[in-house]
Amino acid sequence: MSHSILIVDDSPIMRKMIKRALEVAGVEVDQVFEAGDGHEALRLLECTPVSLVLADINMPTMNGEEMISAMSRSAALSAIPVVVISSERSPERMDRLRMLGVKGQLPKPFTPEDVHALFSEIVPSAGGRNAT
Amino acid sequence: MPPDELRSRLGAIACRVLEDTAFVFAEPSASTVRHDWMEVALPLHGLEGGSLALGASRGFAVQLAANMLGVEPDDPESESSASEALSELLNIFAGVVAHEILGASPMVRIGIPAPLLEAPSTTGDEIEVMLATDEGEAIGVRLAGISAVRTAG
Repeated sequence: MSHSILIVDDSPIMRKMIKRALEVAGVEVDQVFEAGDGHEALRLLECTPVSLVLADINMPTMNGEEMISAMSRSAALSAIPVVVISSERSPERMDRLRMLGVKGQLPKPFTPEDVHALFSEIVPSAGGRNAT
Repeated sequence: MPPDELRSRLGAIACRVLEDTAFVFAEPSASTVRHDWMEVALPLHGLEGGSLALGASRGFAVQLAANMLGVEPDDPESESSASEALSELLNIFAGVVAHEILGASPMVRIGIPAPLLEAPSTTGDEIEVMLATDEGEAIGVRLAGISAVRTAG
């Protein structure tokens, strides 16, 4: 199954690292979109169908938790699975994110093997309303 | 936590993050030489006076960026991404430090990394760890606000 993926991270270098990890992990990717913060991601999601969002938490302007909360309140976006890729490991924050429907977490640093294992776990739920 | 133990744990985490993220092997070093140094820092909100900093020579930061991007050091993208590479390494380092060392400190939140444009003032409430690679490249990490740090777990 091929995915259209949105990577949301304020670090361009981290966005590139995630793309590389997806390639090395053998994840079939149709298209990869990028956003530097939550606002940019939400604007992109309004007009671009994606099957999965990979989101950092600590970002300026609108952080990942705020973005995920906004997605959960949207009928159009709430079905899109979200995985958090973050250095943030606060149990309280992760509990809040799971309540908002986050499907998985990939702590930084991660390996392509970690990415592969995560996709193997969440692929059945990466269909979403806007899946390609 | 005794400063020596804190220093040891900080150094161990830094080595692990450098290896896992930038594929660089480093060990604690007694050297304090900083040449053509660039440094990034982030605040640790909720920890009084808390901050975390990471520094390296500009040339080594370019190498780190190249390793993280999967390109050669002479690729223009490596040069332009050097500061950002340090920032992202610091971000990852801070996440692990917050989890493994600051875990018992309530509500510590990691701030956004930013370049340090001038040498920070020392307060005596910080510890610094210098690391070195086999090639002699130096990396420095500094944790401030240690009097507020409680033993994790």
